[in-house]
Amino acid sequence: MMVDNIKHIVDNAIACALANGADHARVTYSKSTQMSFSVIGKDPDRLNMSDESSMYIQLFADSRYGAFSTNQLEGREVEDFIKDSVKMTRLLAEDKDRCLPDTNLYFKDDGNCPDLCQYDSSFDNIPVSEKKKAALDTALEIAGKDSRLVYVSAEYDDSDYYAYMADSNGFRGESRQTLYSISCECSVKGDGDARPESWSYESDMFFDKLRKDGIGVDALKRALGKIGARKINSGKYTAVIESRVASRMVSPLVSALNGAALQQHNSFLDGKLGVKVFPEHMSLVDRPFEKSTPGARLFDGEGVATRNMDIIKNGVVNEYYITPYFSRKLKMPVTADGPSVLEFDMAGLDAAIGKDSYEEMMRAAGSGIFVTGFNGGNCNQSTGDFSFGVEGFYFEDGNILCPIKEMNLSGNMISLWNSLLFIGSDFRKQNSWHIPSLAFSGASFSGV
Amino acid sequence: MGIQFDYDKVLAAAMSTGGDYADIFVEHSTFSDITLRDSSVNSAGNHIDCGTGIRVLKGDRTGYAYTESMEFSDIMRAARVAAGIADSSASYNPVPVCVSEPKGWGYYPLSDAGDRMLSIERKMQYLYMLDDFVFSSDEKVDKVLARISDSITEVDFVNTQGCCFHDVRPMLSVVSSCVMRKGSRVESNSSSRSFRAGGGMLTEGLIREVADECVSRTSLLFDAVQPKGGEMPVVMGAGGSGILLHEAIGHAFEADFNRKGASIFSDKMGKRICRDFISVADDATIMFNRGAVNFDDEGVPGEKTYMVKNGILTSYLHDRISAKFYGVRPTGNGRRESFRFMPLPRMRATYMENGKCSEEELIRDVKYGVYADNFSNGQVQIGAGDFTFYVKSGYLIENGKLTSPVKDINIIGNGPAALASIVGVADNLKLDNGTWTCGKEQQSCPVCCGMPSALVEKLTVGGVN
Repeated sequence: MMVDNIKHIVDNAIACALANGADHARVTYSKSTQMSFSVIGKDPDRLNMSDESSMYIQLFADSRYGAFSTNQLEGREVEDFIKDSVKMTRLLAEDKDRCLPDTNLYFKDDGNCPDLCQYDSSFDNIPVSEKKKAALDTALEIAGKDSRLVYVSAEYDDSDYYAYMADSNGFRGESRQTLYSISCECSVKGDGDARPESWSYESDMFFDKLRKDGIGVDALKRALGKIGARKINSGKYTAVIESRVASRMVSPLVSALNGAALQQHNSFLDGKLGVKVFPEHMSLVDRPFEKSTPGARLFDGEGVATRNMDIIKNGVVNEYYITPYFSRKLKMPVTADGPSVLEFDMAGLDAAIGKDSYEEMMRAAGSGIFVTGFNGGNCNQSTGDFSFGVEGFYFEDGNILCPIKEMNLSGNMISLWNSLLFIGSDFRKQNSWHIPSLAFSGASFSGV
Repeated sequence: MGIQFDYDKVLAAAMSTGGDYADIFVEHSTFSDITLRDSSVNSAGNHIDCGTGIRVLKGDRTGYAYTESMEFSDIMRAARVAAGIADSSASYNPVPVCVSEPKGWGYYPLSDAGDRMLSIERKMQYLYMLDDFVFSSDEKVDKVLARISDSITEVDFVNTQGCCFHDVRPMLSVVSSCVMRKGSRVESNSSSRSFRAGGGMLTEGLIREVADECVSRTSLLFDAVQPKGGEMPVVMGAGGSGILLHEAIGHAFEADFNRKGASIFSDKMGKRICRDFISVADDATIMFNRGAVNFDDEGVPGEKTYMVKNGILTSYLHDRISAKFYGVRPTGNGRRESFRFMPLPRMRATYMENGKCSEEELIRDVKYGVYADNFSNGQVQIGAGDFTFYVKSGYLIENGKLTSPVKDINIIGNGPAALASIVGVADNLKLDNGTWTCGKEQQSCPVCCGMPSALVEKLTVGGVN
């Protein structure tokens, strides 16, 4: 569907909502095309293709609020749906804090906006045969090449996502992103009946920049590395967390910084704005204008213009994620509805803390546990107490000695981050969050 | 509803490249939710989602495409895309369609039009009632967040074997969480109930049950600590402990993993895998249960499938692809999240049958260990067999007695080893009717789990060392 037509549908939906009694409306139309192709061993397994569109309609009527969606976008049907939605909204309890953002906060396209470089214009021209070949070549890197290999599957995925958002206060914004990925999963014959498995993955927003080789080899290397894994003695160890899974340690902080959790008093960072909770050398920043990064954006889900934010500055909680609604509830300024591109600020970081890689961290730490994967677990958002299943390797003198599994890493988020030992610079630029390898001293592991 | 287009033409297009089998899955879903926050029912939503999925099988390969459009030309285009998995040419001879009817009235009949979707006024009334119940139960309550959601999904299905069915699938869920404050300490917890049923299932009694559980679970946490971690015996309390079965063995019994040789149980069919007093079933036939299915999403009637009978592995959970591979009949486990996904072998209501001990006897046998009865999430690595589940709260067991409450511990074990080390099963089987949702290959499916209390000799308990 042409973009002009989408804009016309959105404008009509807003007009329909207002004509039927809404005071304000925000409508988001999203449209995507996806394809995936997978192989098992050397044979094709699945082909999956789709196009989809849907409309998300947020209504504000008599200080009441409702959120509605439909993928049935034909004229009469949409009109009836909106009419019923306004009626439903008006039955709810009044909430005067529900309204559109202050227009001064809106993103405005003045013609000088940065190009976030998130759309690959060659998307429609890439031959299906090339996509299939990418999956097959990945599996063939290892299929039949190691007698211990039990199973290998590789998959190619791509998507083209477009969204247009408009509201009755005049906001207009659109974004378009392409994303390509190749992944590989494999399992190998382990001790007894065990079949240790692992995976590897590459992605990029541009097909010609997508790394297409070495993914199968990496998955196999990781699976073979798990053979003979066992649990070791419970105790306190230095934990080095590999960059590809280190965002697991940051997610609980982001949840606790969220306005919805704060408003419900369900956050271990409630009341900590401006307070030094974390160590001096920890600065977590949000950089929404990073180019060619999936999380980058010019405006958030309510049209509020994004900006660079120092979320945690030298250990001090500097910003919460506050939407206009929770801004009014909490009497705090609007920031953003959530993180865009999170990074650790490495500028001026002491060389004793900033490290290039997890290998360098292991050498500096001497002994400990190198965590390469998490297996379940959770974090209590009220208290910050957590317990995560982990797998990885035990290391001594900076060298890996044996694989470990069936162990838990437990503690409290604030205590753990206060034992932050090293911050790496080895994050994957293709991820939404640029979280590098991290190391913590005296982390509590449970095993034998 | 019924399929409104010429499905023979669509199936012919799907089979045009030499596929062995094709099916059409048409879905229309209406989902409503309404939320109470700060003692005010101040947000609600209604969501319509519909479309058609076309699947083509050629040997073990699958081609899948879907469209949200009701235009016949778009549905035909999806069929031709799905046909791309095969690479020859063939003509398709339609077979006579035989409409399948559910057993009796089915496992989730709707009594009348009012039972289909609740009025917003009625849902608001129940949310305010829930808020009152929670706040009046404990003076420590600071905040309540509660939600009622209900949905009706209508499915029409036809395949190249002439199988055809229509199914109306309701779902009703109530979820409540509360935050309590005691001095400077804050704790939160939640409770939920979910049924494949219409609004008639929502009663004052159900609301009271959710409120009471939410309050008692949260209040308990103020006395709870993270224990010292390590290997120890664990008594799994009746009900939600079924997550042990779901994660430790259920996923590993899903036949697609075994067909690919990726499961740790791949070579265990017909062999003893645990003690003879243990039987584990996956059941689609429990009335109004969240995991009930009249037909799975590829037209196979729902049934009760024993995975383990008297300690012997007796059946995997099959969809049509794996059943064909193993030369057995499908078990009705071919499920999908929606028309956007192809079906996969998935669990329904998974539970262990009763043993002969009492829960007290199981606890009495433990010198030092953990009793776990409130869970949040779990996960498994199919090949290694390592599983985990998160214990929101429970108790320490010391010298055969429950002592201090514990909280926020991850328990981790190995599926075959854990199953083999279940040394006692009580006679108090309970299904947990919470909002259990299983994730696999980016698809979510509603499930249920249950268990009598059971003693596992040794699991790794996360804790502070």
